[in-house]
Amino acid sequence: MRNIRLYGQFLRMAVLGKVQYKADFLVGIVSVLILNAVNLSLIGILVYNFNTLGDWNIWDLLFLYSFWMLSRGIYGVFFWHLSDLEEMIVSGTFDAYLVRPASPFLQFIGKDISYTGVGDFLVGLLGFILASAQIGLHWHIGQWVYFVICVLSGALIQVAINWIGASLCFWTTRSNAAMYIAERFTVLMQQYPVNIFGKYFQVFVTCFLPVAFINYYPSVVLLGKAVTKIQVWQYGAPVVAVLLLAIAAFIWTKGVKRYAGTGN
Amino acid sequence: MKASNGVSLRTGTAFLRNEFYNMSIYRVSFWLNFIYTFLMMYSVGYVWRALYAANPSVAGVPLPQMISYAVLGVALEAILHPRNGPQRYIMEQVRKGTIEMDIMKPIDFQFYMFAKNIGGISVRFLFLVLPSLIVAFFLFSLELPNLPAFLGFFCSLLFSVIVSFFLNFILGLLSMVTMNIRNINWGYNALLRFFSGQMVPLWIFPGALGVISEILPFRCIYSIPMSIYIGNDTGIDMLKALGVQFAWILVLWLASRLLMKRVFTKVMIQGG
Repeated sequence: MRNIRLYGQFLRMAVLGKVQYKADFLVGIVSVLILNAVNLSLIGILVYNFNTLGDWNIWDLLFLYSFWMLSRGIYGVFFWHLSDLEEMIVSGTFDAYLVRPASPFLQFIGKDISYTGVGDFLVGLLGFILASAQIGLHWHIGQWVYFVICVLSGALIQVAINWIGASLCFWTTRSNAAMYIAERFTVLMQQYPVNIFGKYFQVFVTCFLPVAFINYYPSVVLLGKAVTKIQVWQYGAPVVAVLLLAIAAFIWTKGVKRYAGTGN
Repeated sequence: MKASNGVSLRTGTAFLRNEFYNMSIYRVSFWLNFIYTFLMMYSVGYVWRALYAANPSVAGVPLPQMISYAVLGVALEAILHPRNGPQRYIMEQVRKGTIEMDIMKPIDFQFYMFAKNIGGISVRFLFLVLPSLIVAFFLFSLELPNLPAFLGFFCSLLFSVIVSFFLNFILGLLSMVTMNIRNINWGYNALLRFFSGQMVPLWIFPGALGVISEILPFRCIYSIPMSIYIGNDTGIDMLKALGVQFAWILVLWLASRLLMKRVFTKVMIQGG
């Protein structure tokens, strides 16, 4: 309870800090919109020429992309600065969190919010509305609930992956290069239906770096894109999210202990 | 760039050596970069296979050539991505307030940045691009071009490195004025990604977008060398494409010299 109140306070401070720079906010949002427009137009040009991509038409692909953007937006607003950990450990500013009477994770996560996530979320929302109108989705309440849960799970999967990545720098000091690559790879994966990449890849992004659960499997389930019949595990995005978060929390705790233990 | 006298040339090679030592420190990041390139080359090949499976004839070139094009686009990113340009270094110096030290050095500032940049890019070419291309040849069905295309490609790649340097350098100069380059960089990256033909070849761009991509200089960076490589521009077309690159080099060189003069006067007046 106290933690939630504290996090609320931290966020309030972070927001107040951001509001000072209005121009920066606007330019930031605009650049996110441009970047998304570029990504979508490139896919658009491809599908405009070729009509379909592995049985997914342009609106299915927009649905897939928007699904990712919704979850990425939520992740981005609250957790984008996970990658700041490297810098804080190198410069020693992380140590301040260890001596204060609150959880270091809470302080670290509460130190900042990022408005680029707002842009991503808006793109996701617009894309989703457009795509679902074009596809002609008529969901019952259960499907809507599943959709919302999966968007949240997708956000949490991204949190967990980046949290694990950031925590590695308790051991290696440098981890941003690895995180950057995971990020670029995720970006590519989320734009295309995973099944076009062949078996090995599908196993990799399902079992080892489970980014396919962010938007691909939920979209398969919700759009009925399964090749034969929807498998039970394809519903598994929420389970994967919880498991990954547990692993991430474990690694983080180990890392903080180790960092504090060696006297840095 | 007054590389004509011996002093500048010696300074140039000194920078090259320096960059090499700098990079050999970061072995981990080298391997990560390599893994990234490997994964990307693998996946772009599959995207094109999936597209061609639905509609084999619309792209204008056969699938093996298209895959070569896409794989090459990934491999060349190691030298042509804007993060390898001088703008980041310039911004850093501006922020720390030490840029005058670089400006006052007894060599031309632009040449200094160019030598530093070429040093880094040569090292990255030898240790990232070449190995990726070899891997791509054996694993990802990268095709080898015939001799004229091969020579044209190398010439064109050299030009594209220079065009990309000038564009990055201009961004760096702008950062001296605006004091913040992050958002400009974003916009530039987006434009480059779209209009350079790195991921999606420009010849399948519809109508007006195709025309715009012809007018902008960004196609000099990926599209032209890669089109020459896969044999899409041969003979007189190849020479024309090289001519376009050369013309852009002249234009951008002039523009950057003029801009540099103006920006430096401004920096001096501010009392830098």
